[in-house]
Amino acid sequence: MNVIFIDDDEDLNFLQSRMCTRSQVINHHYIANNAQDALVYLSETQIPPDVIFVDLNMPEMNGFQFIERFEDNFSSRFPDTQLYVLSSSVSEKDRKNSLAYLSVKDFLVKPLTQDKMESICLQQVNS
Amino acid sequence: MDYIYNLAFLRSHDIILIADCTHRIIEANPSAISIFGYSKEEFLRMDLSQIFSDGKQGSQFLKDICKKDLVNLKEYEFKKKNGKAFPVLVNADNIDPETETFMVVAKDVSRYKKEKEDHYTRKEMMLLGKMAQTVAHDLKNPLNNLLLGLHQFETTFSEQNEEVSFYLNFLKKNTHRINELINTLLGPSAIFRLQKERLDLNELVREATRMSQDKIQIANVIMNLDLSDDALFYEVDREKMLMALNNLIVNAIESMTEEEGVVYIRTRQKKEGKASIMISDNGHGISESDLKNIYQPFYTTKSRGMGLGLVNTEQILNAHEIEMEVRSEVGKGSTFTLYF
Repeated sequence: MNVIFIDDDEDLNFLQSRMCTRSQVINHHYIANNAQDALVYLSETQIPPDVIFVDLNMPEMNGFQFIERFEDNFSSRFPDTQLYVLSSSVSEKDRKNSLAYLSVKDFLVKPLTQDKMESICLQQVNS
Repeated sequence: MDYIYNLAFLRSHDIILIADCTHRIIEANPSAISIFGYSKEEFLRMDLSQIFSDGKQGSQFLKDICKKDLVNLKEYEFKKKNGKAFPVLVNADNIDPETETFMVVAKDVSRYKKEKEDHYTRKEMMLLGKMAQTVAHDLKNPLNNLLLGLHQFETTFSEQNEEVSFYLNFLKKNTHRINELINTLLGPSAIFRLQKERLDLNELVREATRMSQDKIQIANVIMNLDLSDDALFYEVDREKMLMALNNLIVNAIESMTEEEGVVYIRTRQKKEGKASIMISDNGHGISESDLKNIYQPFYTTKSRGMGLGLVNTEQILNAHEIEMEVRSEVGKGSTFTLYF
């Protein structure tokens, strides 16, 4: 199970990374502090990502822009990868806009606990 | 021609006074008489500086007009006979250098000034609201980290040690409190997207009351529900209406000073498919000056309040086009009535 997290909050990334390391469910994980790094990782990785959690409000390239780039350049290479928008926004508009993308499985409101993260990953394994 | 000049003087909506540099008022038009409340005879016995609410401003004006010949569109504050001050915009011109006579034309600008002030207050409030939302949004990220960290901590350690779980609960409770406050701040932006469904107002009142059960018990308040016999079905957003009703109920509970606090909630069917919900308390009431500010964001008289409860409530009701009426008497209590 390979999981990617994209968020500009370093503290959150630190915590999320630790949770992944400790998890029995996740074997590989990659934490990106910005969307550009994630795109570079995607173009280089040998291990197809199963799940990508992406934040919406990020400087330079925001979550929506990342999703578009992913759909344009990577969805044919990684057809089974599921995207989850992970945001602190409770706005209905953000939710609707996120779910409008084919590759986006769900819109999640932070915080994403370890249990929740693992159940999403397991769901992906079983599907 | 004199006749026309005379009419202009008599019919002008502006105050027109003719005076001289000995400060004597020689002539006052009907507008001056009705606005100031002095009779013409009283005017003729007065010193011109007496019409200014600040004597210094008056003598400065006299200096300006008598030495410099002209006062052009300057703002002053005049004082009526009953002592009430009002802002004016003044033009004054020398009309006869020999007798040092001049004419003062003044426009009462109190209404205009109030409108301008209201406009600025509204703008300020909007700006403040926007700022608050930006700050709230930025606080969300570290707060989510705290919630996540605490959750992980809890799943790892809480079962092992009673002290740990005590402090953990304490931290969690307060983090959630901050979260609630921030959600309230972020709330208004989400409020206008209503998800309406046909709901019974009586059921909503019961539910909102249940939400406040803890507070009712702690404050030892008697909750007296007097609901209409028939269900009152209206198209409302369930969550938002519950929030609005709950805010009003919590306010009622928190206004109690004595032991015998009673919150009385009455719902009634009215004529022509209308209905009302009345939430009444016998708490400390709201003073007249506070009453003017109850819908101002961040205005609060509570030690632990943010001053957003009624702002949110009003926004929710406005979005539903529900009218709210407030009556209050200090020491007796307040009544909020919603008209559907």
